[in-house]
Amino acid sequence: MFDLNRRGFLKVLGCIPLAAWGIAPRAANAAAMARVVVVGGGYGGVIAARYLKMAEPGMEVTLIERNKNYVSCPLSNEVVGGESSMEKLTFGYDNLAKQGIKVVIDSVEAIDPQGRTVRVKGGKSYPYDQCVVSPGVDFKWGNIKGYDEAASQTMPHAYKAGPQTVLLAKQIKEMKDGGTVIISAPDDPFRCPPGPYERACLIANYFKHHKPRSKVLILDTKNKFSKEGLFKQAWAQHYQGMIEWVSGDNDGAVARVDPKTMAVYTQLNTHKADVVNIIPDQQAGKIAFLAGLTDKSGWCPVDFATFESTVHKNIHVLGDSTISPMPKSAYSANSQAKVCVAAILARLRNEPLLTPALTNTCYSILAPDHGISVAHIFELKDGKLVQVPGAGGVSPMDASPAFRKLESIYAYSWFKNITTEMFG
Amino acid sequence: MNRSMWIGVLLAGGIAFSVPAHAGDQGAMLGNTCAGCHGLKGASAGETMPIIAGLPRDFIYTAMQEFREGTRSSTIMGRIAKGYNDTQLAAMSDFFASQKWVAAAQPADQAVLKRGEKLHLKRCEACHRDNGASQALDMQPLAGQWAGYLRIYMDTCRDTGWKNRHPNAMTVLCNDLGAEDVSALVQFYASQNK
Ligand SMILES: Cc1cc2nc3c(=O)[nH]c(=O)nc-3n(C[C@H](O)[C@H](O)[C@H](O)COP(=O)(O)OP(=O)(O)OC[C@H]3O[C@@H](n4cnc5c(N)ncnc54)[C@H](O)[C@@H]3O)c2cc1C
Ligand code: HEC
Ligand code: HEC
Repeated sequence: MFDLNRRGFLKVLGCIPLAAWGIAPRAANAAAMARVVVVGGGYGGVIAARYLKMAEPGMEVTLIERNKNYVSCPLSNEVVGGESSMEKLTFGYDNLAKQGIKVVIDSVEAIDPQGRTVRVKGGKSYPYDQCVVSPGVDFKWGNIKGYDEAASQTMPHAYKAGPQTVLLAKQIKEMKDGGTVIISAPDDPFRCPPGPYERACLIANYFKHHKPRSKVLILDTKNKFSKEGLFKQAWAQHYQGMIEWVSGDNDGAVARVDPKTMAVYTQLNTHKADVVNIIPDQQAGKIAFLAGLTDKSGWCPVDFATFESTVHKNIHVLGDSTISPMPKSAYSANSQAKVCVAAILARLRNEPLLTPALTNTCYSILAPDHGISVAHIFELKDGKLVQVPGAGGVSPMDASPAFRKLESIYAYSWFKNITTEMFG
Repeated sequence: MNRSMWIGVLLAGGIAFSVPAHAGDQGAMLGNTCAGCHGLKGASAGETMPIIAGLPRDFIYTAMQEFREGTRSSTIMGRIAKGYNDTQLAAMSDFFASQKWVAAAQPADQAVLKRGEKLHLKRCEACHRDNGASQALDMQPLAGQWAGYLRIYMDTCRDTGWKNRHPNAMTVLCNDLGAEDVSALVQFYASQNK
């Protein structure tokens, strides 16, 4: 419940706007007067900030984001495949500022859960009553020998959209016909489970039109992957002989790379390629580690009714950084943010918690006019987040071309809506 | 905070949003899960995704049940609707029905508007009153819905035999209309952006 004793009370008083002094603080006002600091302006953080401000226009909501612009990962594989531009993926925070959200462009370096402050690189500290952390993922650089941040300048990961996306697109464009692109797919859990395989499709689609003798080789740690049946069907239908997938059991796991010679080593084999895209294994964003929000899995445990960290009270974690049965996707982060906002409001207003409603959906574009999707509806059962039996699932295997086309059309409208909900 | 204070805050901040969502609202909790696809509170900005903000409550409720049972065809809504019982569907239907209908801001092809209007008056106005804006009999308004979506509704019905609840769909929407008629009609509805 909102803690009106001790320092909390003073803090609340301290931030009452002058105009409100005539009114005695009541539980309902506590929400309007609270300070919430959101760390990370991506799919989770922006929705949290926006929905808080929408529900409580008086609340002091501060959004701290390291980059001036947000570059969306969703649809970034289209840029890699030469079908889209970075412009379409790039969004500014101006509209959020216009709605009264305090936008701070800086990097968060520490969160003090006892003192309830967030400190940025610039030196300033931001006190909070409730904190929301949605920092996305970081890479486990050590898992593939020879692959570090410097190596990613030669062998891009392109798994955080931005300059890395541009670099991979450029390498593919400049590659000679007859060349090979290697995609090294990471171990579970990682953001956007269909991402590496969608990428393979869109690179092959580019090859089909521009470099028809070229190939994509996916080296995988895993033995199965998201929407696998639908992907394999599309590979056979559109990219016969152009995409090869090597599972973990068939020596697919990449152990070491040498960026100088463009060599990729698995346990038994050496592969040479013209373009190498290493998607490293992943863990929670660095700030989650620094703030002590992670457990030994490298991700953040949370209470699914509130998305409050089970390690530190009054800090909520969203999106990719959490441990949850929900796939790490933009849609999940968006949906979690709204449950978290409702829980924060309920706490501040001293109201009972609502039953959380959580959904994930994800479209993948496998070729022009060929989209597929997956949906998951979750419910909380005895403290566990489980899928509603019989609901959700992937697009049908036997769907007509018209159906696949419709899903590709809806994918773009999805992107328009989810980004307008954030930045519009 | 009382109502007059809210108004004060809204005026002072120039905030464009209407009444703040109450935390105690399970309908909003459920409805918010749809927004990633259908837009903030159902006001779709994607030109093929239907606006569901401000649709008649009973249409949403019945359509969701039909998606769930498979009597209304869909690419993805069937898989989603299976996640909810009737109580939940009722709550989210109330939530969307209580939002304001905001017509899509979309250009309309002026060249075909006359033809669209003529067709509409002759064949559609009898039910879709008020140039398609009417919500009488719990019908979805056509005026101001995304043309991209109206077109998909009509095309899937004609080309793919998709199931919906349109009266005499095969005659009214399909056999009697050519592709150009469909274009003219949806452009006409797009121009009726109220
Ligand atoms: C190629 C690709 C394709 C994808 N396609 C889809 C798709 O089609 N559909 C889908 O649903 N999902 C997709 N995803 C997944 C989606 O991008 C993520 O799941 C989503 O971005 C998670 O949101 P988040 O808020 O957890 O993190 P992010 O969106 O990554 O946001 C984190 C933000 O926090 C900032 N940040 C981090 N640390 C700090 C700090 N210390 N200080 C200040 N700021 C900080 C970062 O700069 C970033 O802006 C895709 C991902 C990839 C890589
Ligand atoms: C993954 C994206 C997605 C999500 C999430 C989603 N929808 Fe839909 N919705 C669609 C699409 C696409 C259609 C068109 C039918 C189809 O092909 O599934 C649609 C159609 C509809 C329609 C019919 C509108 C009309 O005018 O014919 C209603 C009503 C609707 N959705 C309600 C909802 C509700 C309520 C939710 C949340 C519980 C929801 N949708 C979640 C994508 C989505
Ligand atoms: C006899 C009455 C009737 C006539 C005539 C009629 N409609 Fe409809 N229309 C309906 C009803 C009822 C619905 C709701 C159907 C449903 O639930 O799917 C509907 C729904 C629609 C929709 C779906 C809108 C949406 O957002 O989902 C479209 C498009 C449409 N009509 C177009 C037309 C056009 C164009 C004409 C004229 C050529 C026409 N209709 C004539 C009764 C009619």
